[in-house]
Amino acid sequence: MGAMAQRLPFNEIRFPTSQKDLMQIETALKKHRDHARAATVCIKVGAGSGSGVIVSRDGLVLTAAHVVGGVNKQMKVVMEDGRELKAKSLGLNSETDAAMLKIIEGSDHPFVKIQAQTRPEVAATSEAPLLGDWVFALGHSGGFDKERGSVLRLGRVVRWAAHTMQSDCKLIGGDSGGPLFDMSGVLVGIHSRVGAVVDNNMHVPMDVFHEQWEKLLASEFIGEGPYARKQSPTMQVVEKFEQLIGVALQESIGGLKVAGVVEEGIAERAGMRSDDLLIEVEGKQIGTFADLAKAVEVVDQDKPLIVKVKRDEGVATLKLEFRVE
Amino acid sequence: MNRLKCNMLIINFLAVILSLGSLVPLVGQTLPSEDRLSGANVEAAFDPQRKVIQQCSAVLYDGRRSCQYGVVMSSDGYILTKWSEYKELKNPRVRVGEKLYQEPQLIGQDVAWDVALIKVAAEGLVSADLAAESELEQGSWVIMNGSTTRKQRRINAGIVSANMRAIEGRLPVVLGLALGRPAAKQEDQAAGVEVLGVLPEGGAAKAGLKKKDRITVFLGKPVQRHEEILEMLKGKQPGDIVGLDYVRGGKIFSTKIELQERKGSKKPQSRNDAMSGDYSARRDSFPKVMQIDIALMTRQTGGPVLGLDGRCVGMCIARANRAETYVIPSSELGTIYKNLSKKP
Repeated sequence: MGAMAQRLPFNEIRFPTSQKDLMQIETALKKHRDHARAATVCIKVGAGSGSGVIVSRDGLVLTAAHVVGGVNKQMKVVMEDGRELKAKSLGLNSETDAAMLKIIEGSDHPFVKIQAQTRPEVAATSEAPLLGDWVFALGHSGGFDKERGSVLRLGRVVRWAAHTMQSDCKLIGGDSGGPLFDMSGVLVGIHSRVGAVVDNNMHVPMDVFHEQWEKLLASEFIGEGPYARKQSPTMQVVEKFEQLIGVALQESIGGLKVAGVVEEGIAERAGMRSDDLLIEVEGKQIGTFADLAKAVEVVDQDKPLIVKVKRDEGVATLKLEFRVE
Repeated sequence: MNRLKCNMLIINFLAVILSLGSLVPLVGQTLPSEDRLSGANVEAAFDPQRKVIQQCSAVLYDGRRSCQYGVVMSSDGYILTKWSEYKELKNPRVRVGEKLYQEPQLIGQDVAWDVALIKVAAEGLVSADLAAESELEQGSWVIMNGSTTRKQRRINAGIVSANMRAIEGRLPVVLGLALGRPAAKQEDQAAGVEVLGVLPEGGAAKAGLKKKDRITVFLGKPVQRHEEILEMLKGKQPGDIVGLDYVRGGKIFSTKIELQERKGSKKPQSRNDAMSGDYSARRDSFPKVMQIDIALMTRQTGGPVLGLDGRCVGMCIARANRAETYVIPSSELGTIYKNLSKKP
């Protein structure tokens, strides 16, 4: 049975032109909102968090590879009502960003229907949403917040690439791994990357999951792509350090660029500023994340850490103080 | 028999072509920007709501630059807008419809909600039709100001995206000091809360407080913990006077501090902020907000938010980040307006 047979009227027109068209979109969204939300979970891995969605009664969850960061890892999922359940990551594809995990506590979980695999041999059907189709996103933006709940967003499919679907649903950190639904409440994608502009965000299409379903279920680590970089010991050390001193770093030419500093964090108090280029830690030259990881693998918090940053005025030496008087 | 089989083959062949036709060309195709949720074609479907926004939203300018919006509350020129942005304007001017009004008068402000009431010398304005019930269901369409020209207001459309709730945050008023527990272990019941530092020129400094003083009584109540003082500051406005007792060198002194307004901060407080781009300087500590998914620019806050029926369900008060925008619900907005305009 193809999606063609059940295409919704507002997906058949290029854009809505009347109040009636708009009402139809709103009605479809409201119809599927609560069911979709019940199956949307927050995933807690170490100090970080992402989102995911339950797709079977026994607790199979689809999410993004960069959220789980590795196979057979212990983690927790947080249900809509705040209950925390134990879970274990299954397989992941580090190139497409697809991943699975399994809730290993409780039973009879709320779950959503997933889009069937597209079969090109079947006449004139696309199970996946077409360009311009209306979709909605859910996710625990910025982490779990029981008062707020998961955040709902509406948009359209704005681009298709080989292993990626893009929509103009607005996403932010914490949404990664969360679900994208078509307007019949069927899961069609998993949030993968936040785009450079707000209305261009990337999702892993369901066909990418279908193609490697058995391998993912069998806890295989597929590919050597960038999306499981959290799993690398280097990135674990770098992220821990970023959180410790309150800074966001990016690899750049000649050092690590400070993308932002957290207010009243250790870095800010030491005088570190956005757009500084971190070039030296404790006398060791820093060019890449790997250099930084080596330099800060062990940090003695009893004494200040001396770093050098390059800025317009020249090179500044900063003292990162861990102890506050 | 043969012919039938042949026809079947042709049909199958066509089917494959058709399926390729519907799938393969999709890869690499992009939806034209005018067809996206924020695009001109979708915007045109909201023309009835846009006409309402045209009438009941005010554009605020600082000199020549449009910098925020307001909600028209009465035909004679009362307008609500965002206080923390308004107070920074050097030469505020206001446009409603096509007409420009000079020198608006500040009637009052509510710092807890970050709302200011101003008045322009106008008559015959069309005020926002405040919805009595602002509990719009999640997924409901909402429409608010987008960009603007001298003649025409444009709109942003999106949906209600999360539960209505209070937004915790730092209090909008400050004492002008840093507080903490006494550094030494003190079993003494009158240990109080230690002053860790005093902001130069702040309220506490003016009241004579110094580092290492210990506040023992605040607003007439004995205090032991920093949180007790913060709790008592909730709902206070800048300019309010708070009395306190403190211990210095074994002696007890009494003084009064005039509360000052906290300066907004655009410094990122998390990794998400560092990567979020623009957001409002004041975006927390609101008693109650509705959340919407419109990704506006911070200078597009302050205006009315409409439901599909054209009624005003609230006022846009902050862009929290690239995916979350806060709206003061219309029921609360009505009360704020009543209090500020001293109308019965």
